Amino acid sequence: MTAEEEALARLIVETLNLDFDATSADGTTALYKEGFGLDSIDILEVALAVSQRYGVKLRSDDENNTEIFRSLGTLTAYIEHHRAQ
Amino acid sequence: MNGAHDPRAAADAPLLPALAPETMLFEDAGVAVTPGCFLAEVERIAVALPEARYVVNLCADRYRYAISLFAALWRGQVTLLPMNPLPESLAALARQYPELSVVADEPLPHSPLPVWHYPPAPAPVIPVRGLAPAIPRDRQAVVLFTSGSTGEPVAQSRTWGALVASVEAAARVLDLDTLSGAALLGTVPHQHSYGLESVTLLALRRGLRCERTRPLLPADIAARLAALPAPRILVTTPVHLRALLDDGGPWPAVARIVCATALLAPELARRAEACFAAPLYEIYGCTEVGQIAVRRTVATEEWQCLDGIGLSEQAGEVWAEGPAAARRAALNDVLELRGGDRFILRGRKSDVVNVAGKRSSLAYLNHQLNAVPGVRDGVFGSATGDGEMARLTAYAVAPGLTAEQVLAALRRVLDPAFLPRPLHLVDELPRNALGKLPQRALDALGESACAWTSVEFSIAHDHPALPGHFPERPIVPGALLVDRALRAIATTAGTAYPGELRHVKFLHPVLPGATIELRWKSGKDDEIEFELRLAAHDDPAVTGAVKAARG
Repeated sequence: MTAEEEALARLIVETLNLDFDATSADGTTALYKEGFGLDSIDILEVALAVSQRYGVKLRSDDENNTEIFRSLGTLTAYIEHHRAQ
Repeated sequence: MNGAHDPRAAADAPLLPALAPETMLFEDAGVAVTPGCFLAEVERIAVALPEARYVVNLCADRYRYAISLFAALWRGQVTLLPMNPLPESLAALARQYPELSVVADEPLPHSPLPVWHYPPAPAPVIPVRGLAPAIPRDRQAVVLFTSGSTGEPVAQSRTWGALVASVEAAARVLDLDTLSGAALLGTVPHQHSYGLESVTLLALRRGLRCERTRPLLPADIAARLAALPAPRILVTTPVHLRALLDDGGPWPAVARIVCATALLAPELARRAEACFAAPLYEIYGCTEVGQIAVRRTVATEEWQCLDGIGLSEQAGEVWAEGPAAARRAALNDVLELRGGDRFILRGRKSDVVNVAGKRSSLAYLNHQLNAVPGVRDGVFGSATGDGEMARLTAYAVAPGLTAEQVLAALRRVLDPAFLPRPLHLVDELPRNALGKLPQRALDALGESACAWTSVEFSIAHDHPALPGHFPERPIVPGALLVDRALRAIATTAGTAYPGELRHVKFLHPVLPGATIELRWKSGKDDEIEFELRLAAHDDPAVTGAVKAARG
């Protein structure tokens, strides 16, 4: 797990008060279902927390959010990419 | 409903009302779908749909959903709208409705039933001229579902006439006739009562342009709204509205906001009206009856019933009925009536839970928890957190299972909104002599020391290790194990690292590569007790206690 992924994992666990050990995650850990177990309501909270912490507004243009919310790694990459811009 | 004396029940209602021929209902590949094009596509799909008494409509795209819905209605097939597309939900539907087909516009890899995929349209479409086909008002149009207490969903049927009467009545209260040619964007799924009535049917009965996608993220909702021509109508829920406002904008101009599924806090309604400079109307309804009443939340706490809905009190319950009601039914909420068509909402009956706008009953959730193999006893408790994002807690007696394993089993049968957060594993539930669980005892359980929190983690195979007493049996140093446990406690408890170790015992060696269950609970005197367990031993490998960290 990269430092960026670990920071995001901690943010997600803290924001949602999850019963999940953030240190056990890695880049491939799924955000939906097994893994973090997030649902669409959580995604809204994560989007808000990410916007406040990183100043990045998440955009998917896909109602299932399949790509950017696929794993901790894909969401981290999205944030890093848009922060850099 | 007394059909013989009610002219609305006796007559037919056309599939589409009389609309100007150039009205844009949807956009398809850059071209306007006019009423004539819409009817031509309905005809194409009606001919192609598989022979079946029932059609499960899982289309995600609102255009293809509406076409499939109307094609089935025209043919006399009843559309089933399941609570969710989980494989277990579809299998339950197939048990109740043997003669069904499934229509979808996206791959459904885990469907237990064969799926008929919406076929691509041939170009160009030749619009149908003339009147839309008339559909008998008493024709059964759709079946929606609520969660029953036994695990099988309970069917809630709607006739075409009740749907039309309800949607027309709502459109009048929302004053949509002043917004001709408006575009409507909904953030809610159309497989639910609210999305069916207030997104799809509302747009089609009023000749509004309906946005085909269902954006979720605030930035996506704002961008999709901005891409639609004004005037715009936003149909949403308290959860989505709060996220949209907290996101900070900028928001495109909106002419009307419609909100439903859970009570909206007046403060949130005021913020929404101020940010969008638009009136916000809240709709009150339930799947059993459909839409019941409307209010402008910033102006009044009193709800006004829709035309065609009447309320009456009987044996301590409030009943809704009328031509715009799906059926006569007792309401799940506590209402204070002010005449036959106005009321104040005082709260929910205790068995009903509403999480993020989704309703279920505790009886149903408890049934599903107790149906998990290995769960000896279990119960859902009150919500944690506050406002729109409140979640449920649950307690389970499940020796040999971790909380994660119980959650994984629940995830297969429950809508994610109802998954407990947290799920506490306990030694036993404080049932009284009658086997009941008083709410006070449950509340105490939530705070008491016997509510263990459980998480699992693994030790890497190449984790630093000591040689140990036996050859080839290196052991993980105890200090590193305890450090790992305390970090996990800090993460799950949302506190700082609890650094002051009171005592610790090492009972079994832990080898690299081991999977460890960490269980911890708050004890007396600001202490957190914890234990680490290995699958191979009945007793813990490590036990200890640490001073709880602040915040």
